[in-house]
Amino acid sequence: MVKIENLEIKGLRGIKKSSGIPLDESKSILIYGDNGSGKSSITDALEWFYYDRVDHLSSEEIGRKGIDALRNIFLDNDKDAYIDLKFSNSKLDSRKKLFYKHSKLSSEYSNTTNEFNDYIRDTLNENLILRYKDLLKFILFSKKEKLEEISQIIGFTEVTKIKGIFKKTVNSLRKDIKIKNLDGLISNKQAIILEQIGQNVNNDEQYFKAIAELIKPLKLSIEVKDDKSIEEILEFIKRPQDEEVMRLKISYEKTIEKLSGLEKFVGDIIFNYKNYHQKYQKISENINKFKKIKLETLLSEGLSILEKKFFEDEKCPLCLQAKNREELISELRERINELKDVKKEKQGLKESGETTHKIIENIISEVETILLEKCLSIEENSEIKNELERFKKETLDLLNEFKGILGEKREVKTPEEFVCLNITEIQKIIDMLKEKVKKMSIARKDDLKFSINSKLLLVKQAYTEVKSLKKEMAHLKQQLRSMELIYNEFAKKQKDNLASFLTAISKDINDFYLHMNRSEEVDEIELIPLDKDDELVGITIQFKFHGEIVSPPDKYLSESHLNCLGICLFLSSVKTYNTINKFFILDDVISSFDKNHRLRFTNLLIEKFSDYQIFLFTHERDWFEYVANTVKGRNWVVNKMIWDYENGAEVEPSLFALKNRIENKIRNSDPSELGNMIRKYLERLLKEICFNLEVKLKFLYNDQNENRMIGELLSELKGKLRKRNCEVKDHEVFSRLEASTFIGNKTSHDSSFSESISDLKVFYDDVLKLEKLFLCSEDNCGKNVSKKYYDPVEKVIRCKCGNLRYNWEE
Amino acid sequence: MIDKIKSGQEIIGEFLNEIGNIEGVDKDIANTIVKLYREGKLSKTHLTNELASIREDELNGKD
Repeated sequence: MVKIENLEIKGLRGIKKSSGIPLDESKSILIYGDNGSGKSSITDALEWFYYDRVDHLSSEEIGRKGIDALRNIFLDNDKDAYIDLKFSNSKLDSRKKLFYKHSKLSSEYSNTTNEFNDYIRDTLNENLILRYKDLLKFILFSKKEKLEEISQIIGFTEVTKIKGIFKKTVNSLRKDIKIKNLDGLISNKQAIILEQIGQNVNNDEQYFKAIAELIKPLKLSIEVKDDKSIEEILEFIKRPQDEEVMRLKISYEKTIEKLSGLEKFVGDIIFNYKNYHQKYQKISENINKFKKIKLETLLSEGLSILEKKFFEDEKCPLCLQAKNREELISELRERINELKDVKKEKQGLKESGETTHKIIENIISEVETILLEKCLSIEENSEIKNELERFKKETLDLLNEFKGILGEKREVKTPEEFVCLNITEIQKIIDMLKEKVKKMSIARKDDLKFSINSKLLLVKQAYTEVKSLKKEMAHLKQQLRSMELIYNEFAKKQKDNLASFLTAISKDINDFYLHMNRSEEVDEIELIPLDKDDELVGITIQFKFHGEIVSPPDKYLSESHLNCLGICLFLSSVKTYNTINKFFILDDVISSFDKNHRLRFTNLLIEKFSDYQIFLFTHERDWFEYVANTVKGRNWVVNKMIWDYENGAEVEPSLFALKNRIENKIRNSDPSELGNMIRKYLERLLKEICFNLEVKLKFLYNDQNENRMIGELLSELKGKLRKRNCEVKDHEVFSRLEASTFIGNKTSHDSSFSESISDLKVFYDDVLKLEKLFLCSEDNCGKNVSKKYYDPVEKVIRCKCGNLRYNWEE
Repeated sequence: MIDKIKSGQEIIGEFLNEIGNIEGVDKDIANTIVKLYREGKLSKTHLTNELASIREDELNGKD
């Protein structure tokens, strides 16, 4: 898994100049820094590197996912801001820079390999950063938001989407089966068969047997055994003079059948429109209730504000009337649930409307097909045709009327007023057409061949259609069955995996929480999935509190305990779900913890996350010192973040690293920043010497004590050396340093003074001389002269080995 | 209950690999879902259209 080996940032947030953190062998790092010293600049830069956004900087005014606020405002526009990361897998090393291109902020990675792109894409699903302000985010989410957040973390958003597609497809197939009315059509065809041959035909065997019976009077030698033999019979008995009449007769039969089907459709319209009207009536009676649907967004937003504690007063955040917070939350939840039911009712009305609309369209399409029938093109049927045209127009008017109703542009009529289609006219047409067919049959009643031929044609056509409709029905039902199986199997898989994830994460959360809160009355913390109508609708956090199972945590736990739970949730998700990266960042997360929790949290990190690379940032000095002591010898880098006006924020380099940087600059004759770096080195050297010699300085409070200036340190050190009659008390290096410090100070502030590299070399030589005065050069010692090694008999102080010693009269 | 915690992608991938083996599921439908997902076109509209097209092919004897 991936760890970070080196991190360098320039021009991002508070970090103006290039600031690096070497993390050899991917060490963990503890960074202390006052508020505003720039610790979070590192977190911001890392968040931008991985997620291309900085959430806490993102606002309506800043926009662009907070990126517009990411560049250091003092960085020249022609300079690149960047974060450069070197990883345990060097193939992923990359610099992401933020720069101006045609006056617009652009960004790009230096690594463009597929491996790196995949790494960044996959990391998007991992939880790497926790900030103090995000600690309670998950805990205070609504149940639905918790489900969404967990779904997002474990990549379930796509799973939920696909499950939705399967469900909608199942519903669409069910609707298709209903609207197509295949059973009704099959019955119509079977009625034709019954009418022609006086019996039902349900399979090929019955069909061939019935045909054989039908043609018996013709005494043909053809055996009826398959469709081909029936074709042979038809070919054999057909007569050219019959063809036209036969076609007309079949057309009449088809028209009668289709018109009979219209009756069923009109019945369906009445049924569905009644259903629609009933639902509409119910809604109209409570119209105010339905108008309130629009309040759902407002109420949900209000609930979210209260749940996330953006508003903590015992008042309603909107009207500011006094109100118990818990009661208000509970009322809002109830109202939102009521509105959800109302929305469901409205959705039911919409679906009922869509079905009615589809049936009216089907009637129009059916009438259009009938109007194309051959029998309606002959002169004697022109009146019937006109009647059908009128019916079509009425149906079209009905469709337009209904579109107006659906679009809320027309009044909703009662079912009696709405369905004005004159089905009795259709019935009359059917009777007229039946009469015509009857006449045709009577006219040829003695013509056996004609009679058998026409019956055979009609039965053959009806049976073929029945077979085709049955096949279509079977396919639709088989598809529905398949899709139901697919949906159920997929939903089960989703549920099982979520339950498995929640069980695993709950166990860790509970372990971590108990680690930090021993002997307290909280146990068995669990994330529980919530179902409604077999659908996942949310997740809740429940736990045992004084022996009883309760929920939610914010009702029972103090802020410190809630924060504790927040950290446990984050750490559990890191452990359970991060599979690519083996590091995480905790930015100032322990602010609200009491002393005991802080110590236990440190132990938790060290004991349970020793294999992770941890970036731990804090502005709490006591805790910093505790952690710094605890992690000694445990593969951690301990550092400080410092800020000054000139340089912005930077990670304080070790003395050794600073010395290397100074000597590199001198070797390259590069004076930029050199004076300032030497000054810083001298300052830290003097602090170390003063500490070892117990040089007393003016009392200053806590952090102010760190901000001693070189002049003060030098003056007090000299004073102490004189007082103890130390032989180096008048060493020339002191007065030379007092003069040279001027250079360091000038180069660290805006000044017209321009230092030369030779001035700086002299300054640095003096610093080294001072260092040498108090630092033993023996390889096996290398320690400073210290009061620790004071010899009261000889009245000397010395280094550890005793090679370097000075008088020290007390 | 399953032992290993799977990501959403893993669940989808695993399901699509097994979809053809679910007892009673039509192979053509299973293949269509896999094809649509791989092409990034798995939506209700596309799936419903494909199902209609499968039915049409079956009725026209292309099965």
